[in-house]
Amino acid sequence: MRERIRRAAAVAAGIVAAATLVIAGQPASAHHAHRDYYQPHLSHMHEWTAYEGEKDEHFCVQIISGASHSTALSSINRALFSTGTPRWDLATLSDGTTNARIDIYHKPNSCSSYPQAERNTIDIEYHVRASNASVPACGGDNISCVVFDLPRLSLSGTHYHYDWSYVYLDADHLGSNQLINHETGHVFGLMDGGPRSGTWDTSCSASIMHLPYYGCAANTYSKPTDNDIRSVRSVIGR
Amino acid sequence: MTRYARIVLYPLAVAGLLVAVVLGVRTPESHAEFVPDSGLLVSTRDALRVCVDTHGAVPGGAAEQVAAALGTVRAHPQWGAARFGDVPAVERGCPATLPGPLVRGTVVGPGLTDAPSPYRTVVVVLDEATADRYLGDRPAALLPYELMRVSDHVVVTVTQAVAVRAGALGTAEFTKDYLTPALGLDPSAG
Repeated sequence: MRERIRRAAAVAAGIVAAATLVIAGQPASAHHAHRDYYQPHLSHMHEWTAYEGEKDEHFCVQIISGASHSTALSSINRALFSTGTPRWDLATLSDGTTNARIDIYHKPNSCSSYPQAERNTIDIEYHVRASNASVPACGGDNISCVVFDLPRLSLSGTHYHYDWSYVYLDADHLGSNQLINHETGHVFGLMDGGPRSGTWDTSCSASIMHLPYYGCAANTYSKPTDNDIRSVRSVIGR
Repeated sequence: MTRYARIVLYPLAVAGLLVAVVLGVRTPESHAEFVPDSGLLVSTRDALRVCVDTHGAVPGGAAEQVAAALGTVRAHPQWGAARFGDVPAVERGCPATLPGPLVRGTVVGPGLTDAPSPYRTVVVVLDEATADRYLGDRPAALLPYELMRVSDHVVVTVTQAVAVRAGALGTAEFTKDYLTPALGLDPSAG
């Protein structure tokens, strides 16, 4: 009898050890925030300059249909800069502390108006289309999404990031600070979360990435949360 | 078997079995996945492969010129970190499309896919007339060829194309400013 108990205990210990190994093998994640494994982000968010320069995050707006350039640009500026703190710009927390590695500037004219050499220095292009139009990346109309292009090995050699990003915005979403800031969160490496997000993080923690659309009805944020800014700072630090 | 051996070996055997099963489940070879910490970017690629496609009356030797440029990029300090290994032979068989002016973001390949090609980089060589039409006065352009969805609303390029006028193939500018980043290596580190 004792021998049986000892054998059962040994097998149980083995299962616990195996489970521990498997759990330890999962990619790390910072608090609520998004598995390290799938966090594509802009390459310039690891670097900064004292004055406006190529290492800052520049964006431009391109109208496909459904809105005027001035309306779209002012909507995006409103969402990014006029909703208080926390905010993506300077990775600003609600306590006012900043991190200059994200330093957002807008370009005043349409993306296509810039010579290619200058356009190639722009990190984020917001492409706006009418609500009944679709782009393949977004998979349907009434949906906004993000595309990353030009993957590049980081100078730290630890990961690949992207020189260019495209935020495809449905024109109906221009009125929503929440949706503009949500898509911009993708640019800085954050992934969707919530029970219907299809990602590993099914929680409804306080984040603009865990929206009502993904089953988090109470998350009616119009701007990033401190959790989001801390997650972005974590990506910056890689 | 001693009591000590049972206590030590049983757990190890069970642990090993479970880990093997879990690893087996987690690494299916037939299904392509985006791999952000690999220079090859896709789980179904096991070596650097580069392909050339030509448009118009491109003079002979384009593939050889791309191979020579690859030999130069081989000295880039990040080549080893990207785990590219030896300089690959340049291949054919990657048809590119030219949907219009080759401005930033123009997709010149299959676009969104869940089964990307084995090629990490595609070089699209244009004769001078075609280059004038699609590139304007530029020597080359970096463009997406294949993209993968990594979550519901996030898509990434996994095959980079570089469209280049034939006359620019042998230049240092092409090698440093276009082919190097088309392989995911940082030109500023070179």
